[in-house]
Amino acid sequence: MTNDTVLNIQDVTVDFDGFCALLRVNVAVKRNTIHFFIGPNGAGKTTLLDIICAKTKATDGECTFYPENRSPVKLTGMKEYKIVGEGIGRKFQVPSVFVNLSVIENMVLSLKDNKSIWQSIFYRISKEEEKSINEILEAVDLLDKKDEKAGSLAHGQKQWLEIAMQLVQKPEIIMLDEPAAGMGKPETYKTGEILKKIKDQCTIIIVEHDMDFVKQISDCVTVLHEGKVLLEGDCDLVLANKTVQEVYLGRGGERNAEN
Amino acid sequence: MKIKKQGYNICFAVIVVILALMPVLLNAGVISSNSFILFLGKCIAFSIVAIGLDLIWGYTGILSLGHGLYFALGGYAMAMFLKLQATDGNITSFMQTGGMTKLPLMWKPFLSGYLSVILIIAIPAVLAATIGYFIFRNRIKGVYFSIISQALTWAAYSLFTGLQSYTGGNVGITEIKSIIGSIKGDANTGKMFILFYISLAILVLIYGISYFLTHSKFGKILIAIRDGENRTYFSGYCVSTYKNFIYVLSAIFAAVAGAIFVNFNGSITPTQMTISYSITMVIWVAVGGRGTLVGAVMGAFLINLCDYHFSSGVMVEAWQYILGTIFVVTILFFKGGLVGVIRDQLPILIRRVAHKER
Amino acid sequence: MAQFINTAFNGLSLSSIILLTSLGLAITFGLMRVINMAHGEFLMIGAYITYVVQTIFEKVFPDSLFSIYYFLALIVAFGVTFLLGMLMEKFIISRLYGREVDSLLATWGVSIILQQAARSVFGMQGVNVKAPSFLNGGMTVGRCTFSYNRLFIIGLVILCMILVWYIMYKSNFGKQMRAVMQNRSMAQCMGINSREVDTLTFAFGSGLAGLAGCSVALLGSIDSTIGQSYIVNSFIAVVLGGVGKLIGTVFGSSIIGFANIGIENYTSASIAKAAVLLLVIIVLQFRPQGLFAIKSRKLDE
Repeated sequence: MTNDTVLNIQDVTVDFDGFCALLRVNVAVKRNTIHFFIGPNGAGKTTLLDIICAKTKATDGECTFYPENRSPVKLTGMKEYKIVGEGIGRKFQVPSVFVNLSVIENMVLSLKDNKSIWQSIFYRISKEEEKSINEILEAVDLLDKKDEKAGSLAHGQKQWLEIAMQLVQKPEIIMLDEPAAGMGKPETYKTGEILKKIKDQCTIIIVEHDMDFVKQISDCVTVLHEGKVLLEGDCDLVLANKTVQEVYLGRGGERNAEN
Repeated sequence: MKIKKQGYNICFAVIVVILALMPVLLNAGVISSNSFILFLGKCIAFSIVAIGLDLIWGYTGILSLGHGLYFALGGYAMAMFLKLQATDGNITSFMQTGGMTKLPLMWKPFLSGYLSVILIIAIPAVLAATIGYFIFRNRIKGVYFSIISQALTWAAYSLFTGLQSYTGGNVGITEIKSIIGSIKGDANTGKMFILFYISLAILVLIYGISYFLTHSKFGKILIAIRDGENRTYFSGYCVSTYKNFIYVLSAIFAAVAGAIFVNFNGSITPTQMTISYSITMVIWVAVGGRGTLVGAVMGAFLINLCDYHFSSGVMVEAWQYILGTIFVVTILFFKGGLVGVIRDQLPILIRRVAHKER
Repeated sequence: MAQFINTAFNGLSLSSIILLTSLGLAITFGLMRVINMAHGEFLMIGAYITYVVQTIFEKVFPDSLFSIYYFLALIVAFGVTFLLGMLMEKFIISRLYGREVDSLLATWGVSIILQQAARSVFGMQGVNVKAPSFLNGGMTVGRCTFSYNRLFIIGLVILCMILVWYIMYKSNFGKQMRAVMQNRSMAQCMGINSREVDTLTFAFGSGLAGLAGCSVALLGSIDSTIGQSYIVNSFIAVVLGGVGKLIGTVFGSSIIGFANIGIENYTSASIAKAAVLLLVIIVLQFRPQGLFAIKSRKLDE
């Protein structure tokens, strides 16, 4: 393991009452890269994200996070809100913004600091925070919808709001579960460009089916199949691999062709 | 948006002004009976507990079917202090009947006024914090929380009726003078007014605290928890601590309300601790309009005013039917309660009527 | 020894009563996720129906036929509460699927109405049911006495259990019912009329409350609050057992029943009641999903 590793997943196994969702998975994610997890449905991609952010408990194995200027943090066994506090954010597959709060309120809640009760009671937004929120909203085209309720946004806009909510946290790792779902080609492309821009400041982990999106921005791709790592490497290497084509791309390719 | 927010406050201010005028109206002879003021005093207590329930249910989405427990705990604590004042620290008649010769240890602190005031708040707070700590830490939520809170209340009710020599059993603690002496009868109207205004001031204070809380970032987090509890965890908030905090706060409000209630009512009975009494409190909030503080206050006053007028005479049977129906209809069709109707449905209706006339 | 057997029998008897009142809930709450606060009032209706049927028999039929009134009461009670359940599902519950907490509150409104109706018709005073003659007395074995009406209730519970088990797991309707509860849209695609299944399932659960009411009528006086005194234990039994599992409800009821009688031996009834509820709440801290849990992968249900 080299010192540019930001997240190390070691021997992770997940057993759902006899169904093995993940089996001894080992992955090292490098700092300031865009790392994709792809694979057919049921390969265990979402489960892997669940393990990292402690939504699901691993039966065996552990995850370690190496923050840039601090000592390593063992994520296994931590509470999810503490993991978020360490600087690992996650966007879920189904858009889950707070529908009864306005866009700006959603953003304010996602800010990195002031998470304790007393701080939140006497919280006043600072100039810098307001500026950074506005910048990020500008980037995802939501600035003019700032005071609208998040529930009234269109599906794609909710996706972007949720991505924006991750960005405003300034995390070291961002995990995105199918960020392009429900977006058209141009929006997907634009999302990719935004992600490329922020890669200098953080590491991005993405689960996605859209192979064009993978080609556009990926630095490293891990293919999962039936709970195991099938192959890892850059995009071209993965696309060229026979087994990958067999278990996944064949079908994905057809689907993309239909699109 | 601004006007709407202020609208709630204006509404509340109007209610407070009307209440404040009531003693004046009594003096002027517009209201004929003292007991109506006593009743309004109880309503003030009810609206305080309703605000507390609204904080946890309307804002945070935790439905407690056991706030009667905290209301009664505050009530019992206050009642025992007042009772011991009246008996000069000697044991009460129900303790004598129960075969006791000394004041039991659990009631000893209530000989002191200061200690009593602290305990009125501290006992429910500690109890709620303990219950909340375990329940919320283990992520018990939704209806499961409701069912457990209901079972807890039932358990407490069994205990209070069972331990007759300590608590007065089914009868409770009765024939209590208020904290500033007797307020019954024409001779004591002055004292009654003082008590009334003190209670009104407490209501305003509690409304103020709640308003501040709900309009801070804290309030937004409560709404976030209601709409997506797990999502809030993944935004980095320790949801269980937030939930516990607001649960304890609402328990304290309920206890304060209970203490005020005892002063006006002159007695406290285990009835205030039952499940149905606790759910009745939820009805006030639902009918008034959950998620708006003024809705809780309005609901508490409206339902109790109707109750006051209909609980004797020909309407007594019909009132229960009407109450049940109002409740079902509110939940089915008017989720926002009365406030929701005024805020959402009424403008549409007016627009429609105006449209037709044109 | 005799003391122990007596305690065990009392425990079994109380468990069977709790189980009988919980069976309906295990269906409406456990399967359909509807918190029916009026379930206790359905039980009350079942009890009052027993009283009404008995009164009619006393007046109309000769004494020799009197005892069979109880079987008729069972049928009528089931039928009436079944119909009431259907009506309630059609007009109230069907609008509240997915809003669990709201279903709790709306059905509470219904419960207020039904309680007042009982007071209007039967008065504030409790009424008593005369048990059919074959349930008087008891069976004596050695120094232990087993009263017939408690034995009868245990038998009735076993019968109801078999009925529920058969309907849920063996009949065609049960298959449809479980399909709808597990995946509504998929079941609809398979050509199941899910609205109808909902209505019948809820009605069936309510009907079981009516049957429970009949048996409760044998145990003591009936008034408008009788439902409330059983409902808390029943809900807790279902939650303790694990929502959605029939076998869980059986265990939950038994644990509460036996623990109640066991603790009651050392203190008073009311303290035992409080202690058991507290114990159950403590157990739920360790197993929040109940003793027989089902895992779910959803983020926010």
